[in-house]
Amino acid sequence: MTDESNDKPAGEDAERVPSEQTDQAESPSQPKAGASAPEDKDTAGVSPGQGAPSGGDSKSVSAEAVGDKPAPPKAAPRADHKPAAGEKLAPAKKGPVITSEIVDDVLIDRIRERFGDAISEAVATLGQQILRVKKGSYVELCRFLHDEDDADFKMCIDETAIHWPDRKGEEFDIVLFLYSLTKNRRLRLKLAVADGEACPSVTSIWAGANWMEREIYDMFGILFEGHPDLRRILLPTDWPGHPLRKEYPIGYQDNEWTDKHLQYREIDYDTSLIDVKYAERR
Amino acid sequence: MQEQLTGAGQETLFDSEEMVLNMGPQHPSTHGVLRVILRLDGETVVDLDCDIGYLHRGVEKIAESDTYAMITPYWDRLDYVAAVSNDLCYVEGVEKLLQVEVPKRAEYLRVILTELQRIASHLLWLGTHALDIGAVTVLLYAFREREEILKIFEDFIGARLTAHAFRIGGLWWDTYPEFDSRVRDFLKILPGRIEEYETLLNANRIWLQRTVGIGILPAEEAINLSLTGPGLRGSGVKYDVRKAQPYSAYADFDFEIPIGENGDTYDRYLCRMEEIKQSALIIEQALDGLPEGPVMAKVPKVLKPPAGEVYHSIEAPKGEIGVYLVSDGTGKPYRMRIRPPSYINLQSLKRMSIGHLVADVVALIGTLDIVLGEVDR
Repeated sequence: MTDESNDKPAGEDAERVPSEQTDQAESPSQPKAGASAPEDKDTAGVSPGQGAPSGGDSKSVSAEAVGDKPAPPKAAPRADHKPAAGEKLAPAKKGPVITSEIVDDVLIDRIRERFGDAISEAVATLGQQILRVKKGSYVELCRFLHDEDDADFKMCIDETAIHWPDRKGEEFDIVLFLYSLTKNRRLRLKLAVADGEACPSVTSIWAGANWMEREIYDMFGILFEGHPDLRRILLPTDWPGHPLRKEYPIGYQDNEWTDKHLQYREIDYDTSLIDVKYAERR
Repeated sequence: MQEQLTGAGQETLFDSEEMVLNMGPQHPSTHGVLRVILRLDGETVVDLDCDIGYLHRGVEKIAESDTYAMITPYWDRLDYVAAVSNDLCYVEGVEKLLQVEVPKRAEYLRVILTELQRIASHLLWLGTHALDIGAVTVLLYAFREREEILKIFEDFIGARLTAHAFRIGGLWWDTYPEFDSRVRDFLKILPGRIEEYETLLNANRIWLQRTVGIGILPAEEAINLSLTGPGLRGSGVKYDVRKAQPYSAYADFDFEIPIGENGDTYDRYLCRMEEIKQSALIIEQALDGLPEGPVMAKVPKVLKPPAGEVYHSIEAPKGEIGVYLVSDGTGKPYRMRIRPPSYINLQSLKRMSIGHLVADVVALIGTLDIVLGEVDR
């Protein structure tokens, strides 16, 4: 939680920090992080040699802004940053969790048959099934999973998002956790969404997704098409930026909002004024 | 909607004009800083909106810059009246990702502590819920028993409220010599005490008038609203993660899942009371079968789960609490998502309240059993 600019080599710093701050101020404009990627790539290669003592902290922060190359979903940006970080860390490095294609599953085979190319990935990891679906068929698949007796996913357990700033054109993963009470099985759907692009809402299928999607909008700035009431939910309505995006800094406090709202003010206790306000509202 | 509520076609003597009423954020019945904005027609709720976020700390963001072990204490502070249950969820999620096997003794102790926590949480719920409705005595009785549990926690874990009970891989401490006898003593007095509450409430005319038929939620709607925990079971849906997908050592124990019939506030009350009794049964079985052995698995000092992702959920007193961890192979999670039962259950308040009186909203906030520390995270 330290200020990130302190534990980094100076060369890297000068380029990145300004770009991060501008991103945060006008957060929906993602491309900026991408624009600075080529310069960062050079310096990132140099950094381990210079900044060896600074250790894990600096890496974790820098990886968020460093746009090395579009990483596959399993190998995160920090993972390909790591081998360069020094030989000391090498023994601790393990392979990723074993992920295998789902075979011999009646329901998954049916989905594959019905939706064909729209299912770009159907894998199981640690015994948990994940389907990656293309945006065009997302709502249709959800409807299928909800209505079909074989699937019967009547419950939307959770919906969330992940930000992958390095994956150009599909910066966000929307993750939907479904549960079937009758079949007692879980399924996870994933959908890649580009920055600034709206995601289809599933509130018409599962009413419980309402607040989950509001939270995603609040925290990531992803818009949902067809959501009945898309407002911020945890943060104030005029809060600048969306905190769970990777470019949103954690090391410093943004005072813009607090300066505006949390100031000492005289309150007028004139009762006639209250009456006027009440009349206006009506 | 409004025509329905005011009785379409009925002659009304007075103009029915709507007014907007603010409840909270500093309202004693909202159990924290929940602001409810009500649109009223007379005393009847026409529409409702929850304003939350007053306690937002950004735990999910903080987690991205902390190591896996450092995150655990933040979980204590989510649902701060059921800290032990929250810890279990996170710790087991990381263990799943690390593929660490926890010693049997540690799993049994985890079950004992988590079930004690469930009883404590339900007792606190009972006391405050009854207090909201107007039965002050129950609060004093319920806190008397909760105190016993907190004392057991204090001697075992070192804290009463934010009990950081578990570590990734097991428990930090083994039990102290009197642990077994103290828990058994508590279990001995508990049935008599539950009888006391039931004598006070079950046939109490005021209690029945305030709870029976209030906030009826049919099973399909409860499922569609993603309700979990006693709220869902009160509507007659038999879903409990402990039975559906057993975690820790729950597969070893016999217990029932109580369900309601009508899905009203009274049924949810009965469900929770029965759950307390079932929890006591589980603890007894776990104490009887408590195996010997180590309480901590061999876990490396620096935790670096392999790149991948995992979702793990447990049955917390409030409902299904879950953790979704995305690891990139480093010592800090790339993304940690908390599935907060209170937050998701609170959505149903709108559906339950419409058509009821303002005073019933107080009862309905109580019956949902929310904790704002977890709603806002």
